[in-house]
Amino acid sequence: MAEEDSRRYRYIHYVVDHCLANWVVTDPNRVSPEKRHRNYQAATETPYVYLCGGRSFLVKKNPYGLAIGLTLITAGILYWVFEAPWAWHHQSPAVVIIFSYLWVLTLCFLVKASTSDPGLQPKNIHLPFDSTKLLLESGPDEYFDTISLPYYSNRTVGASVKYCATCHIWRTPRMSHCLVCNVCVQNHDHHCVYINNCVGAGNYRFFLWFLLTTVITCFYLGTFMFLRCSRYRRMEGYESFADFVKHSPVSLLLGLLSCVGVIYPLLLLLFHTYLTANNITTREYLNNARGNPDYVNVFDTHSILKNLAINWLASPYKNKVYHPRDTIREDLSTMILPPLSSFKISRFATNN
Amino acid sequence: MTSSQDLVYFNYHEYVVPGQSFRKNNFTGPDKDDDLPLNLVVNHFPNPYVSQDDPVYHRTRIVRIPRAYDVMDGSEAIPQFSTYTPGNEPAALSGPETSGYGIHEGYVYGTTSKTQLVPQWVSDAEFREIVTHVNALIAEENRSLTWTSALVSFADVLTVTLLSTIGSQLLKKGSRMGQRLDAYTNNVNLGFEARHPDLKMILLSRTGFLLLDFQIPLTREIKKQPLDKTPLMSSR
Repeated sequence: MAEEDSRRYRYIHYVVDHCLANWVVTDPNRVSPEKRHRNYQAATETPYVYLCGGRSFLVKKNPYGLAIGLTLITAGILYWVFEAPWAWHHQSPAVVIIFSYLWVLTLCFLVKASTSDPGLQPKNIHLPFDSTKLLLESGPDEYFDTISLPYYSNRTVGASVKYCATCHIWRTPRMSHCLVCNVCVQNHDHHCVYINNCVGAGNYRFFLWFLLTTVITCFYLGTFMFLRCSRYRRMEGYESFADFVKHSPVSLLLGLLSCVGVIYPLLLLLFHTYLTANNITTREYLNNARGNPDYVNVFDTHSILKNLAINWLASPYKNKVYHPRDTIREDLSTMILPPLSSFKISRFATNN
Repeated sequence: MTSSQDLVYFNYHEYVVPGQSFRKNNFTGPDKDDDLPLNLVVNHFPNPYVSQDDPVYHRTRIVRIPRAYDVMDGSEAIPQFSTYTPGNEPAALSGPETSGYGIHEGYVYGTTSKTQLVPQWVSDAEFREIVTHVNALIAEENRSLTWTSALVSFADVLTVTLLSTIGSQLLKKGSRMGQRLDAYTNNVNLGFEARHPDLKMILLSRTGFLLLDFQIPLTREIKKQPLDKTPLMSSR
């Protein structure tokens, strides 16, 4: 019997450790080389852990997004356990239903923004020469210039392209390299530590709607919590605020949580509303536009409504080129190559 | 008519290197004048789409057709490729048809931006037709701001994002934009195969829509022969 139990537990441990654990959360650095069959199992150069067999991913460094998610879930549970029954009977069922809808919406947009492909780009497909020479030779000078090309609506300022020496690709306009994720991202806005992901062409819409729903949910919850603490407490027979708080501390707690939780998302929402109204990314604004009256944003359609619609309502980025679940290809795109060095860097390195 | 301040387009992947000259104007082999340095234009590149152990890597090169951003509105988001024949871009490096060839790191290059793709393997008209057709297919599938997309966005809010989540899973094959594009590419490659088995257009899903790449058979360095009429292009 003891032997049977031991075998059964060994089997359970095997299923949990090798099947469930590796499928639910996969860290490519912990996958043995002989088991790397798909792209996500071999993606050791990225800071991602992959979820549900590579179907989505999270940045594993500084997982503040998990803390945000846990805070959201905790607030929701507290409301439904302590506040929802009272609100259902003494205010209106609609109050609880609307909060529940807003809460679910906020959580879903957080999950979508955190786990969606922001617009990851392939690597190593624009090498100027054979990869074996990367450590021996410097790159061509032309690959370290910023190139301005004519743009459809502006042929004098144009659109700029630049070579990424780390990813070995010529970046399209608005594409940038994220130092945290070590990858180039289409329409890279910024790397957001609160959603643990880059914000780019693939998930900017979800990020914006997450900010909006967070602000609305916080305002909604805070309003009804403070109404309960002030106006409705008398209905329950509590003239003193202190006595009511002793009776129902969760109401005040949720009210204060809403006040604190709304500040940063509201500021971000206002900032991104300004950015989207001008169809400019955070990166472009901070690096080029801020304090520079001569900056020309060629991507501005000169219509606030159209700019807002492009960012808030347009379809998500379709040209996803990174497919984590695809079978690994034995080509340069899966290799980790040294960055392309310039003549100055090479000469400095040689002299030292 | 362009003003003097208008930007001009060129293939920014190419670059210039000093190289060892080869026989100018007459492909009969080297002579004493061939020590003159040449500025060679590197306009074909290693093949990143196969393993370096694969024989195809060593017998093919890639000609890159880059993105163009003045083809249509929103070209930074909707991939559009240059319709200029390689070497005929407004700011391409040009010269006489028989200007020099040289060798750099074992590969033969010319002193102009013209590549071996056109007209050796693909005619000018055929090239333009391919690129124009690819651009049209991409534009058709990538129109991001339409009434449909706006309605879908609102519906996504109403369905707590289930529409975009489940919809993208159900339409998984279609969501990888370009089944028609892949089919067109495979069709073009069937025609190319008759000319040379190594001549092909790379699937845009492999290039990340950053380039329209053509794989061409390699032009190898010519071994120096004494006064024999050795053809320069030895790969056919």
